[in-house]
Amino acid sequence: MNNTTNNLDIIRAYELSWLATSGKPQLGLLEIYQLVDTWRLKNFLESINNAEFANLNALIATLETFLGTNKFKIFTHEQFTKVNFLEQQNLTGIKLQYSLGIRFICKLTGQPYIGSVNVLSVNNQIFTDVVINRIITSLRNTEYLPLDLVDALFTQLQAQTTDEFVLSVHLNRRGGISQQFLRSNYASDVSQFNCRSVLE
Amino acid sequence: MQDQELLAASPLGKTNVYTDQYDASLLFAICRDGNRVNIGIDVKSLPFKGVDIWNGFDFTWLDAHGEPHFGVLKILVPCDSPNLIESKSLKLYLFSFANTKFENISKIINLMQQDLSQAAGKPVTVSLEDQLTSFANTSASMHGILIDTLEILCPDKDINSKLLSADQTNIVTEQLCSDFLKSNCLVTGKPDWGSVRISYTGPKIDQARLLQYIVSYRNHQGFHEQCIEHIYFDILKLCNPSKLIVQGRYTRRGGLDINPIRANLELKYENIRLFRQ
Repeated sequence: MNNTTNNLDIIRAYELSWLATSGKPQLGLLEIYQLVDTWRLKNFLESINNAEFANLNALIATLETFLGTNKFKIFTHEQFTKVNFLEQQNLTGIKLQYSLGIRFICKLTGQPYIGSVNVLSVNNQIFTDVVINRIITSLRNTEYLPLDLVDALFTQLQAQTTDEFVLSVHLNRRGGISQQFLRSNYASDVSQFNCRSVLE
Repeated sequence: MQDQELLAASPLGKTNVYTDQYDASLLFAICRDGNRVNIGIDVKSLPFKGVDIWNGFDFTWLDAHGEPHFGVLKILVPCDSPNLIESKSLKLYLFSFANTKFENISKIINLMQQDLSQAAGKPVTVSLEDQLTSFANTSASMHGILIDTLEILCPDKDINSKLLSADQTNIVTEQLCSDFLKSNCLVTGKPDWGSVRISYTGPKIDQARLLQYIVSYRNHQGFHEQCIEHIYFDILKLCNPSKLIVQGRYTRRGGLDINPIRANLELKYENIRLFRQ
């Protein structure tokens, strides 16, 4: 994972499960730091939920055949005591300035995507409410692939301000898989904003 | 109509057109009795009270000016309603609000309560909440003793009620939880994931055998509500508790999570979001 990138795409799979060699179920959450076809990912994860693995390393080796090496992390069940959402984070030097719902239509399936758009910046009011609402609302009934939607949104926002900002677009989960897209218009470590949103 | 014919007529497992104009005809009801009879429940005298709590995370609509709004829905369907509402049909119905204008939130809630009550056959309660206030707090697991660390024998291929046993000489009050509940959709065969909590007073349940029993649902095909009722009824019948609450919390499908609760006592319904939800 590149920690100095201005862009970061994160996929979260909430329904990772496999079997120990005893046949006992195991649970985990999978976080992937690259874009993959979520439909294929879903089917792949389904294919392992009744497969036995000797240990976590054996599972990781199988996941690497699909996801590549060093492109994902497994959070075991025990690591979760509480989920902190982006909207609740106490961040130093930067604040969540806008948090809005978003809807658009998947270009491939025709199914609506619902999610949230979060904009973080040091300065307040880098966009007027009218402008940011207009931009997001204009996408509501348009057909996009998720990545293209994020690029279109980022480009439009970028054109409205010279202030530095970070855009975090969260798409609510489908088939147990959600997506977060981070973009900034300045050199920054956006991985610090790797975090679920409330609706995600 | 027979159960299989009825299910074949539902939108489950089919490619659908997603309308964005309000359409109540999208709702599809399924009679609860069929599954209950199959597992031996007397449908004339249900051995439980309870609700199915549905949380809808993908709900959006337009106000009178055409401005979009988003919110989280909480839908309470009483378990003594004649029908459950098939979840894919509910998803399509909720999507149909997306580009429909409403004067205010009360209009949406009233309309939805009317439509869902008609489909369920009993009054359904709907609330629409701000996303941050309603679901910003999560819990890792349900409160109680997590039994998932116990060793179990090789799991069964389908539900094995014979695994359940309790020590009739040792009366206890406890809450046992597992995140290992998995079943497959009755129609599509796709996996559904959940957590379950059994709160009871009565003969002490053998926890390892209970865990193995829960894991025996892993390849079973059934709706969420049916699985929780099956667990409830098996425990009631085989372990003989005087007080019993069985609560399931499933992960989302189509932007909706389903959380059935069945109990033989009156209770206040909790709606705590778990880490996977």
